[in-house]
Amino acid sequence: MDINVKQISKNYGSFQALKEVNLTIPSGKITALLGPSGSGKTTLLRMIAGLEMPDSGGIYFGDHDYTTKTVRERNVGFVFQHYALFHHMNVFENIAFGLKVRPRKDRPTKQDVQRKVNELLHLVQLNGLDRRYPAQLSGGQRQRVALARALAVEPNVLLLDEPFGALDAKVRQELRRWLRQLHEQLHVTTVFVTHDQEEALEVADQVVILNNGQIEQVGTPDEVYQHPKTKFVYQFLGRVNVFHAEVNDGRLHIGEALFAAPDENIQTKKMIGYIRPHEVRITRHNDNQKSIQVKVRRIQSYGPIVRLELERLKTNDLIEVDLSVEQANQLNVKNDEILYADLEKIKFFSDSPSVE
Amino acid sequence: MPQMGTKTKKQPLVGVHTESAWIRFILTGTALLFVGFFLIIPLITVFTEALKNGLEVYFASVTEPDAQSAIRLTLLTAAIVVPLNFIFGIAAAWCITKFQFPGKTWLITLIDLPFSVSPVIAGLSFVLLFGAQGLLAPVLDSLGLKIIFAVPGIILATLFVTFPFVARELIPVMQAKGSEQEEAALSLGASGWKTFLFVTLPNVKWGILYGVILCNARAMGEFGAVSVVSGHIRGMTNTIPLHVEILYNEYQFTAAFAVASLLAMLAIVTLIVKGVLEWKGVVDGKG
Repeated sequence: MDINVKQISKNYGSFQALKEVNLTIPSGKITALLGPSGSGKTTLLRMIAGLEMPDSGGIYFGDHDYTTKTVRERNVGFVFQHYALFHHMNVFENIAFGLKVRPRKDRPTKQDVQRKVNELLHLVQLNGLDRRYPAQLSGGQRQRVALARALAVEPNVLLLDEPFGALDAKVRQELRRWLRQLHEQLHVTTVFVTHDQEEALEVADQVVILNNGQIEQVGTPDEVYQHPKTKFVYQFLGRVNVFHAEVNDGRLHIGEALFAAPDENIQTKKMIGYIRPHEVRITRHNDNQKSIQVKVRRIQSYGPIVRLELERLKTNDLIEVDLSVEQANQLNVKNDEILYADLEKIKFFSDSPSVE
Repeated sequence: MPQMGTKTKKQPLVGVHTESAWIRFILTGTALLFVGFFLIIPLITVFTEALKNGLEVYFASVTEPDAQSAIRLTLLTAAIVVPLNFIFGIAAAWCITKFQFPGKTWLITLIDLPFSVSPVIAGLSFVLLFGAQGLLAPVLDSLGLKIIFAVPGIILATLFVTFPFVARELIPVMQAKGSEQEEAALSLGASGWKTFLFVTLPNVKWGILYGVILCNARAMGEFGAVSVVSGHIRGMTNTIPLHVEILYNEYQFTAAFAVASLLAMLAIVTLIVKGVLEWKGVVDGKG
């Protein structure tokens, strides 16, 4: 079921958590709400769940207005950041909770509950652990119990708050892959909150980037990474080199390099340019006008990539460039060598501070 | 490390205690001396005095009609006060920990009031309110109700003095738990009542029990407030503590200590149950 968020605003005292947010969450897909802390991503998730109520705006599940419905009525599966498992119940009782608290007329029989819980235990790969208590489980196992508990009520939508936040790096990697596989089996509309861009890009079909209570960009992982629409998205998603450019004669200057202005009637005097480390091309000779002279400061090898730390000759600013091992071998770069960094793929934005 | 079990054993703290052995000895000794002097010796005295003239006298003292009446009244008071404060304590802790509202800090301070006000003052205020010359006297007279120098007054005074216990125990426990588990239960479709019954209550059960035990001990042992409102009518409005005082003032020392030993036993039972609960709490993972 599609979920539509329309013109949602929320204030906590004088703090504006969300400002007129509009968003469509496509049915059967995984959507990531990505942003730094305080960006409003968790507030938005809790509002979809009905755990928070918006000050204005509406939330629609399909064509139905769910704005004033309580969390009980929305039939969502919510997985809390710290799982919120019931510590006094074992794994079986935790997963069965949502079925057992139904009003008598909708409550499944004991056998049905048993069957359903066993199915879910199998699905989350926790067979045989049904009599354990949460305190006797590892972090990853608790996470999967929380997921099974949320799925037991056959929710309209599965909502996960920082699902991998409390786990160590290796378990996190495994669970990400597993969550993705699980989604391929179930196709439940899923929304998860994260501040980890890698996680969002790897797991989600749609990434929503939030900052200061507003949506900066919505798109596939490829779109948001390859074609960031705003300065914030550029800086938030991955590493980036920043250049200040001056406007002169309708052209942009970064030191000796020249670029066409994005707009011929450009008014501003200054622009700011972003380029990712792997987008910079390194050459021995200046073969176009879009290169700057640099000196090699440091060469570091990280598995499949070689990272160069380069210093701009004129300004002494440092820039980072990632090369593949092959490229690096071909160039045979040495420390203190003078090279050219080709910035052809740079993207310019106006230098005015982004509207807060 | 050899023989590492599945449970982590407590590591001895090395190098944290920099105080010399002498200082440690003096501090520990002082604490033990205090406990011995002010708690252990008096407790032993109560029992030795009570049993000085033999078991026969002891049993006669606790079974004579006035003593029986005092015991009955004390049990009745506790039976009414403890459940009421149990309900009040849960309600107060619930509203303080789960909601934000103006005047919340005031409410917390007010709950502590019976701890900070002398019980005698509390008793007096009830006399001024419900007594023969009191503010509400006309209303009570017309209804034919008698509160002061009667059982209702004793129950009211005890209720006032003991109402912080359950709430005070519960508030920190509930604050530490947060409301995530309740939110989870609601999101799984549980009603508010079922959430309270199946999630909130089991989570704080040891805190509640502990609060109830303390509340009960105080309800049975309260002297000051009850003394002011009771009127000391033998066989009618005497509770155990009041009965003990009367016996003592009449130089019936053995009888006084015999009845007092009942309260002392209650204190010991309370301590044991409290110890067991704290141990259970630790075993259940601060449950």
